[in-house]
Amino acid sequence: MFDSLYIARKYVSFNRAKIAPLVVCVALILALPFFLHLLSQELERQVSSHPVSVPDGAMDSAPPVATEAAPSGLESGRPMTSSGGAGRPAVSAESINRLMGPLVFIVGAVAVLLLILALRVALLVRAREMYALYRLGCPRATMARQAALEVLMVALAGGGLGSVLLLVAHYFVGSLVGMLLA
Amino acid sequence: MRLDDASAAPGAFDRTFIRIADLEFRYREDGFRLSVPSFIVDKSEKVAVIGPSGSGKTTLLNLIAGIVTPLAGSVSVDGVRISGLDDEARRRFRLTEVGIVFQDLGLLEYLNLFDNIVHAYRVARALKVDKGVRTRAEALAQGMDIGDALNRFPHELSQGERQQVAVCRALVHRPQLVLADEATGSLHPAEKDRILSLLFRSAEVYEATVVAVIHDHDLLSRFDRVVDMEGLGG
Repeated sequence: MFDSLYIARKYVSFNRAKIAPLVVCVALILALPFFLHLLSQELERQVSSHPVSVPDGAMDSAPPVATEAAPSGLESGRPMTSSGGAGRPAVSAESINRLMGPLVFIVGAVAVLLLILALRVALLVRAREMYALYRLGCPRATMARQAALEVLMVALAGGGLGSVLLLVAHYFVGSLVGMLLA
Repeated sequence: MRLDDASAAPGAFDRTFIRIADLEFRYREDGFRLSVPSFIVDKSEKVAVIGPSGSGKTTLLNLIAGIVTPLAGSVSVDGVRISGLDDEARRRFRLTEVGIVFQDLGLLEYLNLFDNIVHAYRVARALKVDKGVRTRAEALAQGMDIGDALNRFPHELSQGERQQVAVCRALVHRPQLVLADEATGSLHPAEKDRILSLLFRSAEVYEATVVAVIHDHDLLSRFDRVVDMEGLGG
């Protein structure tokens, strides 16, 4: 086990430049869903604390997200409503959730697809090495263990990077949403 | 050449180490066929295999090592029918009993020279890297004049030096059988003689049998026997 770990560490260390994109990919896959969740929560929070609404008639022809109406309402510190005062919120929590669900799915699917492609390329690149190991007589279990340890190292590095990205995102998400709504 | 003495070999004191009988092999991809009615190598014998390109020299070594298995016939090494073993057993046999110098060397680019030389000890459960192994690996590397380069990586070396590392790797676990596929191919003439001497000296110490594919006819006189692949019907 320790020898497999030793060899896996040597492999990852030697190929760090090639593995870096894979680590970034894993980090994004892990961090993106949490980031989007964070983003939707922050959007909900800011929208509910600053309700923005547009006239009823405008909502019938315009998409649900009417950001153009936001500045004047927010600048004046009061919600923008229809002339009769019975307007509907332009960006509701429900519409954000409706938007976020498919977005998380699409981003996640693209990221997983990228990861599969990266793994396929990695396997193709290593086919010659695997054959060399086979010819030398390396046991199948040892080869599998070594590959698993390498994947684990990449996953741990990706998880670490993803966590750092999330921490940074958590710090800046409020400002980001503020800019989006501005 | 002794290509047809499979039945003549057994005796009161049988020194047969490798025995191939009625072997038929074919690569599915290109249809290459190899037929070996009989091929015998005695224990501690040094056999050179010669023949034109594509005659099946490398395939013969692969069959003896259990890297590929025959369609028919048998390959036995030290009384064990290699062609009848399962994949894991053949891998174990290669790792612990055979030292192989591949034509393409098969060095692992991400391991330094020392780790490449002792690689078998890191992947075989039965073998462990201890002080004796380290000393032996260093002594072999010194003998090959690459003792100062043990911390370097294969891509930093010349082809000749890489070949020397592959020879060290093949010898470090004191195998009973050394299979060398053009082990001296990329070396200078003077180096060839020296490396072959080291290979033979190590083989003699452990009474190992050597089967080597050789292109350099100047070296043939150093072997006990020369086998021409064209005579095998490949």
